[in-house]
Amino acid sequence: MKSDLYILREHHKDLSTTEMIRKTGHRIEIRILKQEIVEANHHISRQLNLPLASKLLYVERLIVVDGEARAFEKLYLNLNEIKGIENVNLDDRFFHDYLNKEKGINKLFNKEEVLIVKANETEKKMLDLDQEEEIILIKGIATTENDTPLEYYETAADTAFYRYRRVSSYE
Amino acid sequence: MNKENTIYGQLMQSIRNKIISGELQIGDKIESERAMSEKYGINRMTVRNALKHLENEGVLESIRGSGTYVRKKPYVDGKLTMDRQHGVLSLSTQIRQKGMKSSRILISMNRTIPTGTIRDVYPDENEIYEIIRLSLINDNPYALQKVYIPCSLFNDAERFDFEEGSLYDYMQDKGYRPKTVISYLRIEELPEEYLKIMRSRKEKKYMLFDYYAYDGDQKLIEYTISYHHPAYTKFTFETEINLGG
Repeated sequence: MKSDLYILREHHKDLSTTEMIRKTGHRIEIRILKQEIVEANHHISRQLNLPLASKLLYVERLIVVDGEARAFEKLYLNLNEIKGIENVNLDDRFFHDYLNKEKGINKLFNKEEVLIVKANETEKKMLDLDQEEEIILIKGIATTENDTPLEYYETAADTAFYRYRRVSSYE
Repeated sequence: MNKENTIYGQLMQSIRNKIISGELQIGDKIESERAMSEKYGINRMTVRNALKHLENEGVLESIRGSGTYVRKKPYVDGKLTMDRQHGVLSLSTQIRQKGMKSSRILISMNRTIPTGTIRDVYPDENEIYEIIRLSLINDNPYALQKVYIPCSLFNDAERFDFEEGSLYDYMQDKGYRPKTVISYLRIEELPEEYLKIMRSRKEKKYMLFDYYAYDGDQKLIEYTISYHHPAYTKFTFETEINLGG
């Protein structure tokens, strides 16, 4: 059974996932499994509002906490907006630092959709899951303050790893 | 730009909504391009573009010399959206707006002394009502809700029909309305006692929302634990990440 550590996602966030986990005293490791330049297919180009076949940096990474794989991510980064990103360490602390210091981006806005789905073979292997196990799948787009899409991502994780908190106001 | 954000996309969705809600029936003739162009103050080509897309979807049919007619109901994404706008309130309204059948079964209603977690939520209440309801979409179990409201504010809840009536209508009658709702989502299995009523199995994961509703005076007026079937639930979320600088 995986540890009971979870990430709470809230509307405002000042720390990267890595920093949040480190603050709890747990060991975190971000393993970059793949990193290559690809061309956007129809689905990804629509998500990022880019022409078909636009160049993207495709990254696969595994989030490992206390030696256990907890989340497997696929990232599609808009090379048009973040030139040079293919040379940056993609641990999220460095990525955020790079966007801020090198590109002058102060805020990122993520819009996510959360689903519960059956893990596919890759996800089962990456997350060390049993047969027929369900996972949480988060599909998201990160944009700048100017509404420029920077990244489309899909995060597959064991269902206990992410929680959400929201505050809503009504008239 | 996504189609939905364009003017013609918005017009398309407006026409779809009218068909889903029944305002336009199958066989009805819709307004002419010129009429819509004048009514909405938009370019006639934009209207034509919207109608053309809906014809391609098979929702509308254009008959030369006669006009454009509703041919069939548009495809409806059968998921309810849990986002900042819709939140966790008024699910039945959303269900009906999508043209699906909404119904509810009252499983139990008890006036009781709070214990355990509920005591932590309402530390100062002597008694609370526990209302357990099952919501169905097209007669399929969709959500199981356990609602806890304080007897100090709602002392005659047993007189209200929570199967047919809205909890928020009852609260409003008593002079209370939720102004702020803090909700939490996690993914969990259903408690074993509810597997049969939800027609589910042990390992199946559900979206578990628990939420705290406060009135304008920051008084807690409702605490609810709600299990939502993921096949009918779309949860969306926005985060703002401060990168510094």
